Amino acid sequence: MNWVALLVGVAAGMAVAFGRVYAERLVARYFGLVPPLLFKHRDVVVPFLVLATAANVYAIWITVAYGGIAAWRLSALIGLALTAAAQLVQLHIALRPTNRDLQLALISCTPYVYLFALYVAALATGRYSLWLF
Amino acid sequence: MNFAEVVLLSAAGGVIAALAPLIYLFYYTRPVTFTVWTGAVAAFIGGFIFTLLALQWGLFYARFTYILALALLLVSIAYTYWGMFRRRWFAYLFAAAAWIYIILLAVVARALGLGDPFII
Repeated sequence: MNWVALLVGVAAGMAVAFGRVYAERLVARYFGLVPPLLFKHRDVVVPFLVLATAANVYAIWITVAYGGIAAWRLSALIGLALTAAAQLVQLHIALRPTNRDLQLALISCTPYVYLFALYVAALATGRYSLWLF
Repeated sequence: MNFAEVVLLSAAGGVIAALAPLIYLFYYTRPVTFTVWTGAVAAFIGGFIFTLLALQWGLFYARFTYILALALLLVSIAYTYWGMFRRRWFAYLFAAAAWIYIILLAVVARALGLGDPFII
């Protein structure tokens, strides 16, 4: 448990969520509407951005701190690349609000599924490392 | 916990304290004025100092002035939120009470030549 990574991640996630509501306000003002009329799933997307960015920061800390990168394990490199890609997609969700927000949010969950699959596989095979290949 | 970690955690605490009411106000499309942005700056400073002091818990948890400083900082952040939600700038005068208290502690400790500001 790393409280520094967790709190810094939550702060970064709140910054991303603030960018999202700010962008929503700008777009809604441009069309002369209120944001709830224009963006149906903002109640899901705003908390998702906080949690997902915190999860990304924590996942990067896990990947770097437990030797996956230092040992050049392919599984760790894939995890890092997936996390970076997910962060980019989530920044796109935050700063360019569209009606495909939920699909993009679902796609951006791939690194969490991947890391959880690695965790389950490591438990099942009795390995001490998360970086199986 | 080294200096960089302390500063990172304090900055995270300040950002969280400042952005929580801002996200709320933007989400529910409440008016955002100069008073609100001023409150965000005040909440950042309050959250930063609160986290900075809270990280020294192991050193000072038995001191009355330390506990009072933490409690006053929480009250200060609450007053700042009140000023942000109702857009009343004078709420920040109440919020400044905690800062004045901490500055007074520091001045007294400096005058007495003590090692830390929490004198009792």
